[in-house]
Amino acid sequence: MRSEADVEATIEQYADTVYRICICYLKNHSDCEDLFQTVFMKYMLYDGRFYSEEHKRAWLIRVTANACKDQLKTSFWKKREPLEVLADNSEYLTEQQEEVMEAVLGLPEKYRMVIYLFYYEGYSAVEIAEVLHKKENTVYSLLARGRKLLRTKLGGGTDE
Amino acid sequence: MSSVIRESFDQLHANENLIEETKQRLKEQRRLMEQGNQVPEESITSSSVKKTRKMPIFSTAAVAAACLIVGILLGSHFRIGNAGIAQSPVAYISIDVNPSIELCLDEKNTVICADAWNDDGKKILDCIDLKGKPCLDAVENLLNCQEFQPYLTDDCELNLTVIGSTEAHGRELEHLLQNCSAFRKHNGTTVLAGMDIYQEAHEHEMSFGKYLLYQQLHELDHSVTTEDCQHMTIKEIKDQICAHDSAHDNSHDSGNGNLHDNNNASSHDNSHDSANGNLHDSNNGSNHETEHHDSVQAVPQTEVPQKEVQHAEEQQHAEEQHYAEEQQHAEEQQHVEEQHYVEEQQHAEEQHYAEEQHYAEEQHHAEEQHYAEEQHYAEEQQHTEEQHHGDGHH
Repeated sequence: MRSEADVEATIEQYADTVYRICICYLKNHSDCEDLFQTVFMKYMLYDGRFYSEEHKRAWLIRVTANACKDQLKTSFWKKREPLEVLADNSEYLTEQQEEVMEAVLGLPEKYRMVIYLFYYEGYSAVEIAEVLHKKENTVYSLLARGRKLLRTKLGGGTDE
Repeated sequence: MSSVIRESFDQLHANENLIEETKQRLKEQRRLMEQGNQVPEESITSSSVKKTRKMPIFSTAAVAAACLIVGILLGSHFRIGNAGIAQSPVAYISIDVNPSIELCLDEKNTVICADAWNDDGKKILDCIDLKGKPCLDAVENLLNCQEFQPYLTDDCELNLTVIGSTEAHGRELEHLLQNCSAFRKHNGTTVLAGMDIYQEAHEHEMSFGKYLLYQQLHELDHSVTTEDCQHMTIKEIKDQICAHDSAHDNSHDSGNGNLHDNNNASSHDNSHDSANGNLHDSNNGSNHETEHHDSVQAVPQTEVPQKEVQHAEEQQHAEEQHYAEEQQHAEEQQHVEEQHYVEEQQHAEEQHYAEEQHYAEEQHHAEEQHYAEEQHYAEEQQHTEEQHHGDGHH
């Protein structure tokens, strides 16, 4: 079991990352809160060594993604609308940001995570492939298609 | 695009409440665990997750179990289906008096289905179950059952028509049926038919036994339709055939239709046999044998000059009194033979016909002489062969 200080520091550091991934998957604030706690509980109980900070981040992303998928499996009938999240956070978002968030969260699940990791977390396709346990080429095509979908959704107005 | 996305996601924050709450929960958890209570993982998830987990879903186990059950049911169903196919009928017996009943037999001569082709037959089959019985038992049971008795009057015609998987199988079945006591008691007749008639009969909604008789009658009287026959008993049909036969017999016309010839032939046969002192009594063996004998004698009969026929008939008249008993016997046999013969003739191939003629001619000529010739010929051949051998050696 990890020390209390370690856990608290990690929570402070990675709270946003974990939360955003949860949002990416679940699009629902209350579900995200549950998962948020689950993920850090797992971290607390995990005794493995992290070789680097980057390793720790990748581990947390992976654990969060898996937990989210499990959650989706057990509640797959639940309809999730991106608007639900956006309504919670609308006070912080500009009109354009809201539009983008809506577009990203409206993507099919398989593209959503890849797009998030690529654009926000700044992972390369190779790294994404490693984290998500997918083939590198799969990640490339998912990225390309996700990007294409986003562009049509956003009207092509926003370039790279 | 990446900047916009980054900016958008930047706005998403885990709020302070959540972080604090999580910290508190984890602390609690840690304390509990340090006290030695292994906390099940569920306790860390809040009530809403628990609720969702308890909601009824199609658990994979349930789906798998359902699939398995469906699979087993389907599997067993198809296995039963296959067993049914494996027991496909290979032979058929049509039992006609007025009730028309058909039995399908498997290769072990076990009845696998019984169908009625008229209302009388249905009434009988409603009261008796023949499935799974050996065919002889089935026929015996059927003919002895109470419901059948009203139809088995003294002057009824009991007609059993047999279709075998092969001709040999058909004959075997015929023999089997002829040994049936109920069949003998009611003076039944057996007829061998070809598989081709089976389908044809059912197209006209008749048992094939009846259909065979209809065909015979139709040859003689083209005005008869299948509808007429459907409502006629076997006796009525046979009576009509006999009526037509005798009408033709009286006129003694030669060079008429094939079927008619056959019928004539078998009736002439009597006279011929009697004239030769060749009593039918001596043919009391199997019907098959007599039938064969008939067919041998019958064909050349059409070639015998009319005078001779008349002469034969005169002789027959004279001998009729002497052989009254035999004649009666012979007539009974003749019925059977007629059936056989007509049926046989219908299916006879030309080659068969030619063979018969040839065979008959041989009989007409002095057989012994022929044999002697043959022997002589064979000897000669042997001689020449030997000579050839000798030549070869030289």
